[in-house]
Amino acid sequence: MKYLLVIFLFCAVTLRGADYSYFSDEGLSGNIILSDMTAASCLSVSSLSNGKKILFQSGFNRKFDFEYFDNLYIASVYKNNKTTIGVGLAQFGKIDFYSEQILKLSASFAFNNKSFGINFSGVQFGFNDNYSNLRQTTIGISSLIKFNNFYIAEVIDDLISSRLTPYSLKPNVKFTTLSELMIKNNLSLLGRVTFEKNEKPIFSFAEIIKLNMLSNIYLSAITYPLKYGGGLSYKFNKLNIVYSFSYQEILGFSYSIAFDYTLLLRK
Amino acid sequence: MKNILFIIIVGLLCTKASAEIIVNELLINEPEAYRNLEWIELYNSSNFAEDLNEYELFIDGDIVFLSPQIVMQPGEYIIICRKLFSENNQVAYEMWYGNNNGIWGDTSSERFCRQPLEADFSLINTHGNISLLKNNNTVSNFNWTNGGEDGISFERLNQYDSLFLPSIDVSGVTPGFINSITSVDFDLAIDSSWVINENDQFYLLANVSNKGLLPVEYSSLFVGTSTDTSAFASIPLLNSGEIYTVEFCLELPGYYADVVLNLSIDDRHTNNQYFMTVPGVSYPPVILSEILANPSGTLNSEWIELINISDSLISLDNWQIIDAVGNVMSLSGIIESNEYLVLVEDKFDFENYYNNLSSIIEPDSWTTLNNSSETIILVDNFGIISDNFEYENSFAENHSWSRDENNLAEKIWGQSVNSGGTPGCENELYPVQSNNTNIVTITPTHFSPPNNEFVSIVIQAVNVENYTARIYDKLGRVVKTFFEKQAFIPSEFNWDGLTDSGHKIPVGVYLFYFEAEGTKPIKKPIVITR
Repeated sequence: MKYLLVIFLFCAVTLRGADYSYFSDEGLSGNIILSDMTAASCLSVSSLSNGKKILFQSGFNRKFDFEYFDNLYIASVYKNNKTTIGVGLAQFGKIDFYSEQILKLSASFAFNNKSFGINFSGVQFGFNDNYSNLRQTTIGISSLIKFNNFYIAEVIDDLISSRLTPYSLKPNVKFTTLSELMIKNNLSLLGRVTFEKNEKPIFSFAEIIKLNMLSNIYLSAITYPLKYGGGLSYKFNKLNIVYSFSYQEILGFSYSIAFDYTLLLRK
Repeated sequence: MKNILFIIIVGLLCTKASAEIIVNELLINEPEAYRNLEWIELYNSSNFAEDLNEYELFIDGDIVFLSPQIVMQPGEYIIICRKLFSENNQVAYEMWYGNNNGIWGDTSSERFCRQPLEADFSLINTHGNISLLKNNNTVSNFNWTNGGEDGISFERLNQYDSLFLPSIDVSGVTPGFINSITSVDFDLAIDSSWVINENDQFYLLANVSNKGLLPVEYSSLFVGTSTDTSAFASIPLLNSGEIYTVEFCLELPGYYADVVLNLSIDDRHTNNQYFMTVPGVSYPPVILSEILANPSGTLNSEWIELINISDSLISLDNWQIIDAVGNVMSLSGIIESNEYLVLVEDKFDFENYYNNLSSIIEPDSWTTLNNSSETIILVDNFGIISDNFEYENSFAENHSWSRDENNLAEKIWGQSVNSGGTPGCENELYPVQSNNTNIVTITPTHFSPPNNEFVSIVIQAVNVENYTARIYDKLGRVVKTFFEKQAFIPSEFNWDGLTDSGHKIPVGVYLFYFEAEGTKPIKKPIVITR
């Protein structure tokens, strides 16, 4: 435990929090599956799942069919019963125009039906040749509670952050409440609300329909900006492939494809 | 019919003559009433030198005294004119057919024959007779009952046939040369030449015909300025009566260039050369600048603004404006270098609406411009299309069609910013794309609002009912709205990096969105760097 704390404190000096996009941005309109463990979601939210395993996830998404908003990421999570450690790398934008290279680290600890987590994230901002790179770090915390088939989580992103330059804005602190209600074994309802200074609150809803043991369908909507999402996942042995999309009336479609790989370890 | 009858009568009255010195051509009806330009051409059709002193020339029964001791060589022409050199600015032969410097034979156009003789005579247009006698025997005779068309001579068919017919040469006369109606073996002619414009490239075309009796091959047509031959084209084998069109690509300096077309030498020289003025690479000197086709309210006069983009004064005499159905407005007046000239339907009404404007001309006739679809063509005094503009609609509330004067090559037109437009002044417009595509230019793409930097957004849009322009962040949230389904938008505006509510926004890449109703939206990135 002391060892992990030292790592996080070291990282906090050089890293910065950032929006780290997952496939769930499109297909689930920003909702996160709380009842299960995915590599990417573990970087933001604590995990309650048991077992000893390693997860990998990589993905690509293009927002609004606009290449300057492209995002490529890879993430990995190591879970050892009550302790979860995650690391993720992402690149947003286009090199030599505007890009964000993001590193995200997280750790969470589970106690019975509760868990608490902390995440450190950092980004390097790259511009064209006329501007030097910038770096920024932030720290966020999260908690998760389970009541029977209902999960509720609270995430505070960018709780502590550094300034890019002396006169730059700090990122706004974001308060997000996530929930998931599992109805039987083949349907989950998800909800999310996010509050941020100077912005309208954002509500989003999603449902996951399990078609069978191998495949799921996602349907979702988000209020601001109003978008509708959907997706489909299919599992090939230990590899899960997720294709998802969302549609915004003015800016058009966003697409995402992600690959999950789960490696179970001996208890 | 009248002409044919006249020609028949003339022919019947002519007598056949033997081959000696003969009356070969005469100009009875002088050009533009310059009576000094009447002349008679004699020709020695024999194989021997002939002393002109042995001949007597009678016009309407009166003898014409000629200078003695003139010996004409076989095949030689001699011109007898009323006045050779100009005095007191009176038009004379050398002034009209030479270089008007008072000296004969010092230029190529004067070297084709010996110095013309002066004589005291008059050729009456309504009727007359000319006779040439040798030893009291008539060797050549011609009666006429009509002087023919202005500046068109009568030519003898050939030395064996004394039929006289009007000249068919493009100049109307052939003094000192074989007659245009006389058939020769090898005779290629430049019938006509004209200029066409294809994709902003000018081409010179010329029709060459074989007017001779025999086929002609290995001939060429040369084109160049008076001092230089810049191009030539080979002419394929042409049989008698056949026509061939030659095409040259024009790339001559300046706004206009005087060129001369020359055919290879053949049996008739007079139809081997053609002079014309063609557009240069800088053409045109005058273009359409602004058009108001739909006056309303207190303005009742339509108007068209021209601008002289050349570095010299241009006369608009014989320029024309032609509309889509061929209605012609004739122009006149002058337009100074880099100045505007406004052509107005009603000068009084125009001046009531626009105060203190100079350089206004009301053409003698005005063709009403359509408020809907219309094409306006500006044609110069050489018949070359100088400029044209086509619109599918006009604007309400006295907004004009205005041309972007900072980008003349692109021919960008749009709606005037202000009601009434800018006649006589530099245009201000909202550009409209004509090919149904919008163009958005953002400069710079990266900027730092804390350093008081901003981005300039330039829009060239199609003409539609409404426009929308916004900036979104990477989550798709609207950061800034410039226009929301707005009918008229400026062509250029700035963004200071603030939101609609005046808040700063974080470093990042943002999406600029522009949509002209019914066209494909445009998305462009803008980066806030600090």
